[in-house]
Amino acid sequence: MPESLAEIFRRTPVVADFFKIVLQLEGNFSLNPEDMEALGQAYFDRYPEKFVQRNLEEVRLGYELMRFCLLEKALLGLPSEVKEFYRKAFATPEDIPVLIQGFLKSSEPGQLRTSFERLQTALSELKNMVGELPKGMIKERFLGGLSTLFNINYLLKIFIGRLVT
Amino acid sequence: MSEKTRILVIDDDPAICVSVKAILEASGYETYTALSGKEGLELFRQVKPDLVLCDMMMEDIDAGAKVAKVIKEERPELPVFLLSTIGEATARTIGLDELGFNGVFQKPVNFDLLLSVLEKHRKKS
Repeated sequence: MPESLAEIFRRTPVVADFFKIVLQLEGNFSLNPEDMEALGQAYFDRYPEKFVQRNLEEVRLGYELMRFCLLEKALLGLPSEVKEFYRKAFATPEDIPVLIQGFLKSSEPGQLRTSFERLQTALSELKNMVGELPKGMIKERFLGGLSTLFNINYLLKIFIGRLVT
Repeated sequence: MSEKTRILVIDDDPAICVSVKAILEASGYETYTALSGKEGLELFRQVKPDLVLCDMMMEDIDAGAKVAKVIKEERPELPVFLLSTIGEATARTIGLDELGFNGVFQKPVNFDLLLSVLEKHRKKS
């Protein structure tokens, strides 16, 4: 049975190593609500929540961790050059207009539109799964991570709409 | 040409700040961001925004409510909206107006709705 994200997280004390390992999986990992809870628990076991004078670096790491896993899952099945475009777009949303122009030098607008529709569907499915998580801090971190993805998705929609239509 | 409407976004997640700023600027708003309640209040006094979007849980679990309280004391007319993951049912029961908020946008934010609300506060040319 493939290793779960929670298992990978628990065996990698350096978070950058976790990101490298997950990136290599190309989205081929399980991320249902149970997996989300297990990953969230592994994160909170390492970085326990505080309610006053919270450690914002640890909180932000939580959002980044969840966002990274959600995005990699959402990109599952897309061609590698398309994945790379979206990874860059989600990492640097302020560069989206330039990234789109670069992408369209070697690809058709239709490919961008089709891949964006697939991405939107995948993100909506993940949002529904996050919605199934019980109330609490694990859900809060996933919602935080998901929020950024939806924000940037909205931004992509604006710029793809301007260029493609 | 008129001055742009100024929006202050306060959220402890830099990725949220960057992405919200990009959307608001693409929609014609002048946007400022702060990564904590403390930094948000400093920027609020400095840039004199026309509207504030503020997260709840930042350096403290209720940092957003503390920020809204101070803003309403200094500028009671200023619209302050909560950006939060608290859920719609909870939002209905916690008394947002008593905390100093004019309303709440649940994360992930519906930007069609948010931009339509912001449009009502846009400075007229």
